[in-house]
Amino acid sequence: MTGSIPTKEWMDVPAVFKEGNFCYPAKKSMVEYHKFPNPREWSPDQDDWKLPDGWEDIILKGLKERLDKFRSLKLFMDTCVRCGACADKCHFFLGTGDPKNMPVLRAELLRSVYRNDFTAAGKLLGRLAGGRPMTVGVLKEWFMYAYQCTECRRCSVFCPYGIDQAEITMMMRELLHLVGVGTNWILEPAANSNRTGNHMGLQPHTLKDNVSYLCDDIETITGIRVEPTFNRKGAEILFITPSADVFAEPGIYTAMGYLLLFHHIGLDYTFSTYASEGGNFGLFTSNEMMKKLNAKMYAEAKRLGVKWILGGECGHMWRVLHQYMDTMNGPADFLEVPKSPITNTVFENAASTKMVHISEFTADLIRNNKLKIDPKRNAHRIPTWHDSCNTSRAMGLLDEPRYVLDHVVPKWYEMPENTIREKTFCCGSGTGLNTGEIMELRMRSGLPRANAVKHVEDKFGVNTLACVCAIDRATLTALMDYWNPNVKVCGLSELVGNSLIMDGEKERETGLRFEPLEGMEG
Amino acid sequence: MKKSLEALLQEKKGEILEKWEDCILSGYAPDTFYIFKNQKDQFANPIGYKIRSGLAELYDVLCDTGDHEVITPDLEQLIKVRAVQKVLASDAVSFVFKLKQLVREELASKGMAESYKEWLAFDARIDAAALAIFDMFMASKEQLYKVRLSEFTQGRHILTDGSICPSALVRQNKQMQSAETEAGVAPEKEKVAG
Repeated sequence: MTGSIPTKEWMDVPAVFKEGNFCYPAKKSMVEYHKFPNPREWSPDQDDWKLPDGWEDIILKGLKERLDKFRSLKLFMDTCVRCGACADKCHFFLGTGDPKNMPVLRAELLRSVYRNDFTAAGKLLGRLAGGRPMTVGVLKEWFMYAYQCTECRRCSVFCPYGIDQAEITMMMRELLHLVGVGTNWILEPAANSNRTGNHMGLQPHTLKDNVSYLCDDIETITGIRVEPTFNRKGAEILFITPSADVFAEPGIYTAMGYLLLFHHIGLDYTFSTYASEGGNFGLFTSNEMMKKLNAKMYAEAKRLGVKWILGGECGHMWRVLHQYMDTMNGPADFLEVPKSPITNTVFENAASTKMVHISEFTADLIRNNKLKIDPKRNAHRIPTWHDSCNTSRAMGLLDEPRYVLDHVVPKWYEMPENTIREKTFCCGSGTGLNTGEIMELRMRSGLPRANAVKHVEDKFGVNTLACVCAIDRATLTALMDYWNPNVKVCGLSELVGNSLIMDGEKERETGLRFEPLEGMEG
Repeated sequence: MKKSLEALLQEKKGEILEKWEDCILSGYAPDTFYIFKNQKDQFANPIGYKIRSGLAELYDVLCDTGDHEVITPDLEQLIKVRAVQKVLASDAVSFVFKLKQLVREELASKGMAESYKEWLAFDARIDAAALAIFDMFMASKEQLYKVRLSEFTQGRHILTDGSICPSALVRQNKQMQSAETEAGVAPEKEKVAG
């Protein structure tokens, strides 16, 4: 589909599924696990999607329920004047050239059905008023384009009405689940998370083992043994981070950074082996699933009796926390307003959620001169900063990471103005689109980001792309390997950890990746 | 005085490049064509920019009678774009041959020298470039497969495929290690649960 040459009106161009342009559908067992409707074996590239009887009514009823429940959806359906401000702002459009990836047209896929069945003009005039009935073809289009949107919300920055395209995509995905149309890579991590507390399905002993392997590496590199605790009742702070941080490259180096930082300042904290995942694939499924998976955070904080929660480097975790957690599972009035035990800074911004971002926490430590830092240890890195969509656009975390970077590396460079901060380009693989089977699509959707990185690589010799998101770290690595192979990806806390001068450390020869440090080779 | 082909190619460079760019862009929908053609900021329009700059580099190589490398940085970027779009290898390379037609159309009304040798050399350079670009296309495809493979080897596939339970894998590894130390005892095969 993508890259083809439409010669007809958009409504008459069908979505054609071929191996490589769709995410694999959810396994029957996964749909059953979640007790979602219509579990079955099926594939998008087959003509018959084995939809349940009366599926059109199920969708329309589902849409009505959501229009009644979410005022924002009703507003977004009615408000758009098709001014086109968003048209060329989406990374999927810019990377594929497919007009249905223009946010305005992607929304029209749903809006056309809304018009047809829920507005007077549409009921009377049908297609003349931009309406169209719900058909299998429409459903297939929804599936194709609701999964070619990473809910990054760049388009809404440019929308004069502030229409949130992410919420439209979320609604389309919810409606698709009502008839058993979903992807495996979202439902399976969600199932794992529901069962063991994290996407990876790590059980408590495995999580603990993996962290201890990282502690071994830290000891080899620095000579310092760090001893994190798990499920320790009475700890002051509960630390929650994506499980990817303790299992996959390059996230593990970020986790080593956390461990070093907390040891450096003598923080009284604990991991939980149950709230062992920051990420929440419920956000990509349905609001009910998001609420369910998020609930463990406060539940564990209560069980362990901590004062507040510190959160690691994750993207969509922070969107859920910042925008939804308080009303979904709060108020967490059993917790205290977060106060740094090292600097006594009170994080008023987190007074309600009781959860602080690691970059805010670290920036505060640096500002109060509580860290012994040698930025030269990162001299082999020349980073640029990638604002992750969720932390930048959904919670406004723009300056804290930059402040930290200023102090932990000798120099770093910004990408062009229209590709950073609120206007940052997505990694192209968020919202459960980070699956291998759509690798070419991921390379297309990530092109605008990669293109900006290439610019600073050519101009300033940038060799590192730093960020604060687990999915970014994983998927930007693949993106860089293709577009800019000389650029490596790392988390901010890896750079922090690598620059820390630990009390009693041995002479450092390598970085946290066992790479030789400039001027310190043994 | 009649001009050489080389001189005419330089003289008409702007017009020819414009049409050549349109040839590739016409593969996209009309709305897309408009945006990719008119947005000049490379960060707001990476594909349009890469097409424009890649073609310009290639044009210079083809117009120069010297023995220049076809592989240039911007052209490489353009081919990388083609390699991740759903186009056949033949489609990805066909734009190069299109230049033969464009140049003839553009120069037909000009008083160009009937130099058979010049034309032959120009066409030969285009053919050679097409072959080199086919190699670039295949190299980009191969790189893409390596990227996929790298996701597996670095453990990132666990994040990106979600089909394997790491706890089960760790258990399996431990069992295999203990089986190796206890010679003669075969490891019990455990089902890898999702």
